[in-house]
Amino acid sequence: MQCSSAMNRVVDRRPASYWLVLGLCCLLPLQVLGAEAKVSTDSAADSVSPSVLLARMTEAVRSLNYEGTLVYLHQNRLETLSLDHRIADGQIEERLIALSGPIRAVASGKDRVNCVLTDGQPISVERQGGRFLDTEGIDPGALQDHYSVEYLGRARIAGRETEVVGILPKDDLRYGYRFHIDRETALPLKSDLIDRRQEPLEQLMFTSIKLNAPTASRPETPLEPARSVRSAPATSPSSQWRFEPMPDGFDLVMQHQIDQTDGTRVEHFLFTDRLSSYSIYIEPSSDDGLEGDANIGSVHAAGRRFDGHQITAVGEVPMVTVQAAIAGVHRADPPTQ
Amino acid sequence: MTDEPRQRLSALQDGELAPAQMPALLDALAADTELRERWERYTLIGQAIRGEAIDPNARALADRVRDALATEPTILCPRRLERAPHRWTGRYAGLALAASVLLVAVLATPVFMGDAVGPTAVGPVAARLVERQTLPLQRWHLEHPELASKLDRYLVTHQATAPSTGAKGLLPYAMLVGYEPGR
Repeated sequence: MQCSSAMNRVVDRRPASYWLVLGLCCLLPLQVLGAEAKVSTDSAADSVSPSVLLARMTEAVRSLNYEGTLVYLHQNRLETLSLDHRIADGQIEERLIALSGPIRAVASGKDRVNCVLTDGQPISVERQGGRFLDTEGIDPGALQDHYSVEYLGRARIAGRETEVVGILPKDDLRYGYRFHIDRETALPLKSDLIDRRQEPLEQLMFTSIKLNAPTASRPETPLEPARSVRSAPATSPSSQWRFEPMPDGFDLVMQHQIDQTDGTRVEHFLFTDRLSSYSIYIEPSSDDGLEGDANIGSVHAAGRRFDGHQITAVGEVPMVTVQAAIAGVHRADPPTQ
Repeated sequence: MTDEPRQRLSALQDGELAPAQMPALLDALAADTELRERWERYTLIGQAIRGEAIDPNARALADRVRDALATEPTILCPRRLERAPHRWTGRYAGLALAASVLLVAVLATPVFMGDAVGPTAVGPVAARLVERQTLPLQRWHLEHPELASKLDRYLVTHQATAPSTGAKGLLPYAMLVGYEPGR
């Protein structure tokens, strides 16, 4: 009893602030739990989950009609572009025209992409193997090996509030993106191509945008299901060519042959890591083949001659990736009898 | 940017700017990249409206002159330095001279290209610098148009096949049309 009384006296002598701090420390974990719950609730309420935002953005792009003016910033240069985006007969049709400098335009429709550039013949390319527009959005889960998908905050673009989502590359073999997604319409009002350090390489931003009413011919049903390269299973090359080793994370997902106007035939192989992609073209050697490197901004190309053939890789990937891609091209071993 | 410099720029383009306003506008041009780019666009629009020949190289000339000045400052006017050592010594004088040459090149180039005026005091300097520099924004940076066209076809084919709309926004297509070739 005496002992207990003595302890009580000791305890009683401790300052009230001690108990206050102790009590607060005990409450702290509960506080943190509560705060986390509050954040996640807010997230759900505001739909700031990057997956949800990206899904909304994809849906907006394939369902809304809009037109506007964009500025395109690259290498400290600014170009002004005009965009017309519409859904016709359930298909996306886009027309992009450069407003400054010589006339350049690209129009993509259901079956073809037509392109007018200043320095060459108009280019018209058929969408091979069906339509390969991405209709499934971006699946962050499928990208997690090579990218991290993050919510980066809010910003104001073209006078509108946007949520910013980053798809950040984890290595130097691919580029990532940073989207400013309109809170109201979910359209990407600003798109940045970024490198591993999140430095913007190219930026495309609406300065004005106008939503148009749906076209009358729009079908009741949404866009018809289309094959998506992003979800296509990795395939094996059916031709004599092999691509090993490939740049880390990239798989062959499509291959076909193109008959050129000069009578030659080009084999086209498409590789993707589910977001970034590059193509390898193989044709008989000619005088105008690329030997070495070339680029337009962040689009890189690399080429070499090999065994009487010209091998060219083109893609919106870093130079090191297209170089690694063509370095790995070789013929299949002849069958042993 | 306010409307005032733009209006004055337009007036200068039309030859209607009051002489008293010219020095201030030229100073603004020398200091403001956006204003210079606007001048280029106005010049281009004027050439297009008048149906004159448009040389895309003209637009890259100012950058090339600037780059050349940065890398080879001795090209500027070494003899003048010898003739008038007292007046032209000092780094500020050199910078002012470089800015003046650049400004003259920017302002004078479209006139040379559009109106085919013969070479003047600025012409030979600009021409010499042009020969030393490669165009920074040439499509694919290639000398062979056939090869560049082939790569363009390959790129369009790639973009038409690869996932683009929705996932990457418009960036792939902007890359196709957003780059102005230097040829």
